[in-house]
Amino acid sequence: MGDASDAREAGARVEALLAELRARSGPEAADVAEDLVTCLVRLYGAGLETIMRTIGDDRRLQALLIADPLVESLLLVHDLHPLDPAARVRRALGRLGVGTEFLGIDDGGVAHVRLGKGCGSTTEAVERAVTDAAPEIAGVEFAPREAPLLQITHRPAGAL
Amino acid sequence: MTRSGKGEMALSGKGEMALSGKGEMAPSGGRGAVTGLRRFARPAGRSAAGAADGSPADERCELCGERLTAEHPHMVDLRRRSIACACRACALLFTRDGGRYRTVPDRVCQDPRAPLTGVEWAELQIPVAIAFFFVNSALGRVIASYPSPAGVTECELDLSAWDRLADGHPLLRAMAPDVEAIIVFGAGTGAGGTAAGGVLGAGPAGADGIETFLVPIDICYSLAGALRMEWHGFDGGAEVRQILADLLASLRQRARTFEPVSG
Repeated sequence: MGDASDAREAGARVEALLAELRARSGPEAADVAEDLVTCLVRLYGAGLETIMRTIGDDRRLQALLIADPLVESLLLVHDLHPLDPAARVRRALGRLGVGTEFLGIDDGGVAHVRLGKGCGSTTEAVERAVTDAAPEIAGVEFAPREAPLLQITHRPAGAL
Repeated sequence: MTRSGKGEMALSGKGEMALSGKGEMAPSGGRGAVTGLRRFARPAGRSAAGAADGSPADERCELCGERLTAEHPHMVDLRRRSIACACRACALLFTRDGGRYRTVPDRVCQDPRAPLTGVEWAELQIPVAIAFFFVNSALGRVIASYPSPAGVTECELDLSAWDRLADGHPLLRAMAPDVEAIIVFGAGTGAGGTAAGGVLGAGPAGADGIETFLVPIDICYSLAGALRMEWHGFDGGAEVRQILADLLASLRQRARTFEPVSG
C-alpha cells in the first residue's frame, strides 16, 4: 500500500483498487467495497464539517488550514473549502504564475480562462489547476488569446 | 432520478432500500482525480455542481453497470434481502428460479370473486390498516409487514390463520416467493371504509371495504421509503394519506382480474 499524500492520489489509488477487486472478485465484492469506502469517507467528512463549523469565520485559521495542500484537498472533497469557487480558481491561476486571466464562472458552472500571451502555459496544465481548485465546476473553456498586435473585433468575454 | 408524480408511485426512487453511493459519476469535465474521492463524499443524486439535475442517467444497473432510464425493472437480492436496480437485459436473465437474484415481475392482480371480508382480516390480527405479505424463501414462510415511520415493520403472523385464509383465496397462493407480495388495504382506508372518511376515494372495494392486490414486491419497498420520508405525527399525516390514496388509485388502474391457473 503506497502512502497517499493528498486526496488526488488517494482517490486514484482507491479507484485502482476497486477496479482490481472488480476484475478479480467480481462486481458483488466491488460493490461492497464501494459501500465501505463511502462509509469511511462520509464519516471523516462529517468530522471535517464539524471542525470547519467550529472554526467559523476565523480567517486566520482558515488561511492556515488551506495553506496545507493535504488539508485543502480534503476540504475540497467534502465541499467545505472556505473560499468560493471563483476565489479558488483565481488563487490557483495566480500560483501557476503564467499570466492567465480568469474571466469568471458562468451560470452553467463553466470557468472561462484566457491564456497568457506567448507563455509556456498549456491548456492541459491550466485546466488541471482549475479543476483541482474547483472540482465542482462543470468544465473549463478557454477564450482566444488576445491578438498580440492588432485586434480587429472585440468579442465579449466568454463568447466563443 | 426523476421523481415522477406521486400518483404513480414511481419505482425509480430507491427509497431506503438502496445500496448507497453508487450511480453518481464525477461531474462532467471535472477530470481531476480529487473527483475520485468526491464521488464517495456525498449522497447519491446530489450533484457536486449543486445543479438539481439528478437525471435518470445517474442510475445504473447494479449487475452490469448499464445506464438506466427512470422506468426500469428491479431484482431481489436474495442474499442481502434488498432490491437492486436492473437493466432489461439483466432482468430477463434472472427470471428463472435459483441463484442469488430474482427479477421482480410487473403484474398487479385483483380477485373480485374472492374478496377478503372484515372477519377474515380481523382473524389475522394485524394491528394496522395497511399491510403486506410475502413469502421469504430463505425462511420458508409468509412474512407480514406494515409501513411505519421506521420504514417497514415486521409483525407476528398467525401462520395457520394465513393458511386458512389462503385456502379460500387463490390470489393469496399465487404470489411468487420473494418477488411478489399481497398488499391489503384494510377497512377504514378504502372506499367502503368509515373511519378515515373515505379519503382514498371510490373503488371496487370488497364487501367490507377491504381491497387486496397481488403486487410486485418493489412497490412495497418503494412505499416504505416514501412513507418514511413523509411520516408526521401519529398516523402519518395528510402527506401519508395522500401517498396511500395515490398508490391505491394506481393499483386499481393497473390491476387485472386474477385468473387461477388450475382453480
